[in-house]
Amino acid sequence: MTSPQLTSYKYTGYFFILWIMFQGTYSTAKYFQHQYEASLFTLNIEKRIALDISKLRLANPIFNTISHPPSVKRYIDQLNLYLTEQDSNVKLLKLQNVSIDIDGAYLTRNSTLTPTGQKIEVSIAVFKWPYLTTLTPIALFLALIFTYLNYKIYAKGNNADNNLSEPSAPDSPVKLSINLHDKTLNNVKFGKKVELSNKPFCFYVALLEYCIKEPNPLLNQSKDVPEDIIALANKYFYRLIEIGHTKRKRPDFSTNLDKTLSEIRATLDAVFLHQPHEKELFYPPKAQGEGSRSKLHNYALEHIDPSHLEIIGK
Amino acid sequence: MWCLGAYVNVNTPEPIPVIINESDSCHTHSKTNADSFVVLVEDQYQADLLLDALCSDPVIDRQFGVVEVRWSNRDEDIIQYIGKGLAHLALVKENLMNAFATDQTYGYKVIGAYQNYSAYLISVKEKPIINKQYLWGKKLGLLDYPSSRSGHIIPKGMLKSLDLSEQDVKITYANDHNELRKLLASGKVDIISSYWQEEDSKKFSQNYITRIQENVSGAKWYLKMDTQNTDLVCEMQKILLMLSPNMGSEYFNHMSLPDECLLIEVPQL
Repeated sequence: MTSPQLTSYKYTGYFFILWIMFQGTYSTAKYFQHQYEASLFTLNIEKRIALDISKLRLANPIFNTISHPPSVKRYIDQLNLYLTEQDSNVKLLKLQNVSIDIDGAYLTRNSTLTPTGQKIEVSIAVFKWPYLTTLTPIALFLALIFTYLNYKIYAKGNNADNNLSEPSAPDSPVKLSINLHDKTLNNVKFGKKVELSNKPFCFYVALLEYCIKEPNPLLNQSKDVPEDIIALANKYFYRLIEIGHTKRKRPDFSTNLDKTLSEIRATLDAVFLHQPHEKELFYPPKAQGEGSRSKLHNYALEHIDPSHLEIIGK
Repeated sequence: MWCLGAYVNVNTPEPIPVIINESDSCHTHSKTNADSFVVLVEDQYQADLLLDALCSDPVIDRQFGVVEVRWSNRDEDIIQYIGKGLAHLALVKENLMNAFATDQTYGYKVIGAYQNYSAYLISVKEKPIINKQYLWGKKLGLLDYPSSRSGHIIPKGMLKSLDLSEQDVKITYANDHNELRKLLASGKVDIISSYWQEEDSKKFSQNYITRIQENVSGAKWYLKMDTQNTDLVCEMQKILLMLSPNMGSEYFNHMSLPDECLLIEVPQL
């Protein structure tokens, strides 16, 4: 059977799509957060440098002064030390002509501070976004939960209107299959099989066939069973003898009508135990009320549709 | 998931605190005294030495509640401190003090002086000659701050007296005397103008230096004497005499004291 395998592939795929979706959303948010954080740190660094410009020994062409690399380098190191303590994702890389070495992969952001008459180039290293650190177990967990919930809901829906083990195609209109070989009535979608004894079996098959043929069958319990039904029932009984179910003599189908019908009804009750709507299609109506009205009662199958029925072994 | 990524575990940067520190202070035992004793020195190393000594000093303890030591080597800052009388004790070059007539405005008096020195032209491969023909077209390293005598005022005066304009020599500026020496050692300049110190003989030859001017006055300790606070003068002299050999340069080993204070023998007690 390939269907459980297919189902498992389906849920594995479903799980991975969910996981990638959750993880992707999370990682994208983290990426924007990373960029935002980097620009905040960059602004803070630039602000600090701007505040310190008068104290920093940087070159100023207006006054013919040149920079003092050791003190500027010390300044950069101290600033970076603070940034490291703050778990910053940026570092000061270069201030005017003084630059430092930074380990790790980073992108350089350049900007220029312009105090009056001066241009101070600032390079800031923005460390590459650490993709792997954004992997979160929450995404995995959520994907698992959703997959499980989905499985649960799907399985419940399936149980309600369809049994997975049924081989026949789910959209087949056949609802009741009658098998002459083993004298059973068979609920096709739910695989429920019940055997019936010879007389009610032949009578029921004949009744079905008669009601399909006749446009408006009128069968009254107080009247005799129509000849056509008796002939059909006889025909099916001979068929059963042919198949080898019985060697006994042909029963009289016109007698004990009540008993025959109630046996049929009991069997149908068992076959369509949880599908009352479908049972109605095949169920000889019971008499409603008492007295004279029951004499008018019609036990014909008025709603029968040949497409819902299948007779095997005619 | 988006909110989780965007708002959870977010690092919000705080404004970066002050990084360049240029002062340090300590409290004396006189808790109720709000007066502070402000000292101006050249660098943090000197500041640390002084701070420890001053805060445990009994005279300071009697007169002040706080000792604040500030350091700066920018002329602009030094001018503010001494020009406005903000520093009680300051290590400053004489030419700057003279420029602002600080003895008249705030009564700054010299309480300790380091020895005078000479300004030299220093070269690597030959002894420099001070004449127009030799210096013409040479690459000359000078200091970029105009208050420096050996690195700026004296060599600029020399060029002027030789009738050499700034176009006739190629001047490269450096930020301090160490940077100047690096320029010379790396061959970026032919000659520098600076003082000579013993440790220079490790890198340069004493044969290849030429004196431009001698008796350049050294840095001096000034005390603001708006009152006749003789106790303080003598105490400061005692402390400076004690600390000077540790101040980081051989130059500070020889401090001379003007004879105003009669307690020069204090350190020997």
